[in-house]
Amino acid sequence: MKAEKKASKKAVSSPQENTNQPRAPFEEVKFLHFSFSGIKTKEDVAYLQYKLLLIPEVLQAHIDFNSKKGTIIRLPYANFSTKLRELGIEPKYSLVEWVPYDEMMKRNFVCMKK
Amino acid sequence: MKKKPIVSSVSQTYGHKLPYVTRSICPECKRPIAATMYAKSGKVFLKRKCKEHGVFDEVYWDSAAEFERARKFANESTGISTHNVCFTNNNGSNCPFDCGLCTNHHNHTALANIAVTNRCDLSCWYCFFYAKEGDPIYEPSLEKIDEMLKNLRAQRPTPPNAIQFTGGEPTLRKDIIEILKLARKRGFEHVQLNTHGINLANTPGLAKKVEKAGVSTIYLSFDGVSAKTNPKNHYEIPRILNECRKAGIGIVLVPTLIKGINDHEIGAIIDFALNNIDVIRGVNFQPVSFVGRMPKSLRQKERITIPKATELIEKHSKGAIKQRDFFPVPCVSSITDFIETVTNREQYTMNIHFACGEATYLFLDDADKVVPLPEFFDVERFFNYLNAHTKNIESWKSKGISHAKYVELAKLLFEINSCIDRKKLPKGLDLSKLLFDVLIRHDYSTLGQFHHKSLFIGMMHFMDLYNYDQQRVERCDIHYAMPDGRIVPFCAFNVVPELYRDKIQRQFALPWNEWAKSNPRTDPSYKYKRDAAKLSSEQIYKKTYLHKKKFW
Repeated sequence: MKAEKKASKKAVSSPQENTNQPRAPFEEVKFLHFSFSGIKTKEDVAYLQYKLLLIPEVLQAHIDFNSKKGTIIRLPYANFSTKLRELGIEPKYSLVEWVPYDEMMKRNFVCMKK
Repeated sequence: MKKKPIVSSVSQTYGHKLPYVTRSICPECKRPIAATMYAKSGKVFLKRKCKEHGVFDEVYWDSAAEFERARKFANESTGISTHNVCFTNNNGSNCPFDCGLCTNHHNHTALANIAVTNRCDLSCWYCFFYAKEGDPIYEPSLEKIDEMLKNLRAQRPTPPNAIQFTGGEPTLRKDIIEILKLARKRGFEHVQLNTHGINLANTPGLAKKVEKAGVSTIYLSFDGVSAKTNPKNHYEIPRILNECRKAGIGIVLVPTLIKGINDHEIGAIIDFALNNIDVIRGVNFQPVSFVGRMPKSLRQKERITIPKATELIEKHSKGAIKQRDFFPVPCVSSITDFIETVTNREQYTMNIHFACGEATYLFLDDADKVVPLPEFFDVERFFNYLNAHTKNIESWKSKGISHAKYVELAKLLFEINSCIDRKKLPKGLDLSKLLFDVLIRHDYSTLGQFHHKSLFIGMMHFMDLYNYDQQRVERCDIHYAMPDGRIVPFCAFNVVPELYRDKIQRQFALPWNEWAKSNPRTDPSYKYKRDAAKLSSEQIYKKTYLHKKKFW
């Protein structure tokens, strides 16, 4: 039992669809491999990664403080570089590739790997 | 040769004396920040400072003395060889935002969870896990669930053999029986169903179908023995117990403990379980973890931690069950390390953080007196013997003398007997044989007999934003399988839901209207309504709640 004592919201009278969320399965995802500089601490890098992952179109991400490299897996997103700059990342892309979604999933599903 | 244990930069202080530094997150903004674990006024606190939101100083454990006792059981693990997020550089350095499982995770999945729906036919005010009207409905298909099950079983070196299906309310799925059968088909030996149980009570024959499908245990919400403390299913509990009795399926009661709300019933809950020991296998208390933001004054009023709960158990049971009868979960590593050394095979381990959970076993003697396991079995001495023999065998092996293990085994058999107080040993329990079977013959079938004659009492304290400790997340072995192939620790999945639970369920959900159209015979907005007066007038209700024995 979680004890946050907010009153429950009343049920909406007519169900409304939530149209803003990207829905699986997807066709393709973009792998962005990049390097960066200027972020001072490990905690800052981790927090940046958290803020990136809040974006619904970002499926997975890892930004590494020690190597100053990162990988983002995302869905189509207009002006993504602008978004990165807003978050404080000036990426230098080393590789950008479109990968079928199924291929990305196989990387997560151990049972599908040969 | 023992594998090298994982020690991350954060975990270098794991098992150290207080004070020590660990890592946490800011409860307001989720920024990872260094945190100090320290003792003050007999308690253990977790303190950290966010540069934006200030200082947070939270009770971590109510007893520094108990923390010190538990710390002795800190143990290191050797990780897993199959990682589900292995694209470039994901080494878990940004824990808990790198799940999962990343290359830094210390433990294999011991108990896997799969959420099979976010629908629920109750509307408990404190619950954020169910879809409100109009919300997208998350219900992975049978094929997707099968994929998740296979993914879990592909874990190496040790795949999980225990799975729990949860929700929402999983019994709302019309294909729940097929789902349960799938788990057995994929090799899970222990299948649990996490439920409020009302549908088991009200659907004749469902409990038997669930049992036939392979469920070993019903993991049943049960927050108290009164309607006030357990509004969720108080009136249906008698029927639920009866249906499970008829079906031959065991129940573990799962009370969430909140100080000032239901902690006064902690003794009564165990008493209730003992009265129904024929069908109740255990009680797994879960000290409350708070969802979202909560003012400090309210947290102080309602926060209860493991040592406070075990102290209350000692008080309410009038000393029949003592605080020292509880041992941290990783204590069993003495047993698994020993078996691993003898057999040279990787064993199932439960090397979670020593502060995550504790447990004991209760037996009833001929006079119906409650006898905790440590009262007739010197648990600590037994573990010490095991640890010494493990070390000796490894030493002999390193010198190429592997057959020396038989000498160590023979010594152990003699020592096991010296740990047993036969005057207090419950009749009919052949503990020597049981330990011999497990340790020497590696035959675990007799464990079923052990569980049948005992009541497991456990404590599992899942974290929230205020007591979040990265050293615990890294070691977690209760994991959720997600439909995108990742496997995520419980306290990342639920404490950072915006990255895991909620995000992934939104990705894989159907809009409300679309789900309703594709399930025309099911009303997704259906909510259960009870006739409490009728239920409480039934003979079975009176027998369950009113006419019972008091054990203390």
